[in-house]
Amino acid sequence: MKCNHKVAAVLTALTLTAALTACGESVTSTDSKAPMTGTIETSDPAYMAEQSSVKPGTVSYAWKINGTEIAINADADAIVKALGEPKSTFDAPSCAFEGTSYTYTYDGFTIETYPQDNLNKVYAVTLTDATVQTNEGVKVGDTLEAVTAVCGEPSQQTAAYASYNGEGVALQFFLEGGKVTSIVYTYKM
Amino acid sequence: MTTKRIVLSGAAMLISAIVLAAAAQRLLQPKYMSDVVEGNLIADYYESNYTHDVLFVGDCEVYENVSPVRLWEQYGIPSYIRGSAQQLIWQSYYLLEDALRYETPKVVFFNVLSMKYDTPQNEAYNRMSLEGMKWSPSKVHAIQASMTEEENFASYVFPILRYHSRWSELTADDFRYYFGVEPNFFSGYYLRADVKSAENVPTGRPLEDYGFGDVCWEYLDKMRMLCEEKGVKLVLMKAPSLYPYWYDEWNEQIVAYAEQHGLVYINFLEEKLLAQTGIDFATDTYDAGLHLNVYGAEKLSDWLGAYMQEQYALSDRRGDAALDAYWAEIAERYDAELARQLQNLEQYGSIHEPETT
Repeated sequence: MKCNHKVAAVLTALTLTAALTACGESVTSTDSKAPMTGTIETSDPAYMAEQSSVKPGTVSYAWKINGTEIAINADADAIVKALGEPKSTFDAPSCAFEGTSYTYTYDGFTIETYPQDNLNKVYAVTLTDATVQTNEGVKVGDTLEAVTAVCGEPSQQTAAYASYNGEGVALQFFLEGGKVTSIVYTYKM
Repeated sequence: MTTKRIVLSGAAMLISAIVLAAAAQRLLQPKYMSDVVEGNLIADYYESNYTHDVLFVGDCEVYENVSPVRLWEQYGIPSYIRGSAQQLIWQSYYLLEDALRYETPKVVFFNVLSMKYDTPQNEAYNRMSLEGMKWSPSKVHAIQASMTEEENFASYVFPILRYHSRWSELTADDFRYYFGVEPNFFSGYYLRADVKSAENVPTGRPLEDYGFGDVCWEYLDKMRMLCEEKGVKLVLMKAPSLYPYWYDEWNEQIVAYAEQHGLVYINFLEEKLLAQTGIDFATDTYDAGLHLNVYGAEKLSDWLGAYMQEQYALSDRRGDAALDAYWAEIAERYDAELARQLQNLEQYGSIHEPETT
């Protein structure tokens, strides 16, 4: 009996150790039941489709980060105020005229703006690394299969990109070797 | 009343109406003497003496990055920058075609940034590039190629059709400069003496398509053939402007085109060339790397002058009395403007005096 207790204790300790070690580490598991720990830990298409907050096969064109929605043509000043101070700001005055375009750089993403109707409007949002993800759960480094699993068939696709076209906006996944290298929400006429 | 008197009265009334309309049109047209001075760039060319060995054509990356005064003072090379804000390639072609009716330079530099625009962009920029042109087939074709969907040709022939609503926006400038504007440029160069270092310049986001539009290649071909026909050396250049971002993919296309057609292409964003010019983006730009200030423009011009003398055997034309006198006047204004801006920068922190109300 004592041996059984000891064995049980060791097994319990080992189990607890394994569980604690698994938390917070990136796991490229194909186990569709792998736990979420605050970040997407697997690029398995089926898992992503299951975990996405957006209905699989649909695309959300207004990106949400830290509770703030960033839509193309939205008021960029209000968005920047909600997001807080960017890491850096670059301003590019228009040739000859008043009106300035801005690029705000945050951790993991940038927001480009353009001036129109006396407003500073969002022109493009670029997700630059894997610390952020789209509303569908796609991030830099994911495979094209993972993208199409949650977003459905793209409007346009080449070896270099897969693009989803909405009204006045496009969600573009740029690819290299079949993996996402950057993600862009951009104004599209 | 006899028929003759009726006809004469009618003619007199018509002439009076035309004169009044013309007078009103002159008043209502923007004078571009305060905030947006670039609107006068194109018309300024016709005040020159048409004796330029070098012409530069293109957008703000030429008219803010090259100093013709420096080219003259250091190398005796007379030049003119036929530039305008966001000048599109078809506008560059027609402006060049227009200039070649007045003179035949030895070398034409074309800044290639405008290859990225293959559709009409903006009426305001169109008007700044086109309204100052003297009427000619070149102007007609330029307007036809440039108009946005909302524009119409008649409003270029009769600008009062476009500017009639300005009556409520007239300023003192509209009256002060009714009979003519004052020169704000120096052989097409727009001088800026302020400094704003380039920091946090973003790299370009990826594009779905890096190809230049067919219409751009068409006009680049036209420009090349026009220069060949006139015996002018065409040089393609990319000015040392850090933004808008100049993609490697774009650069490769221009390199390939230049090789295919035996043209020289100078990309001043190349590290080696930048180092040769000595341009320092901490001190030589007035808007964080978009355009050079006068210090950067003079460095670039020093490089260009030496290059042109070596490559194209351009002679030093200082010593020609007429040219000396012509350039002395431009240089005097240039130095005065530089002094004015430096004084304002010291006094007000801006190149402009504060607005008085």
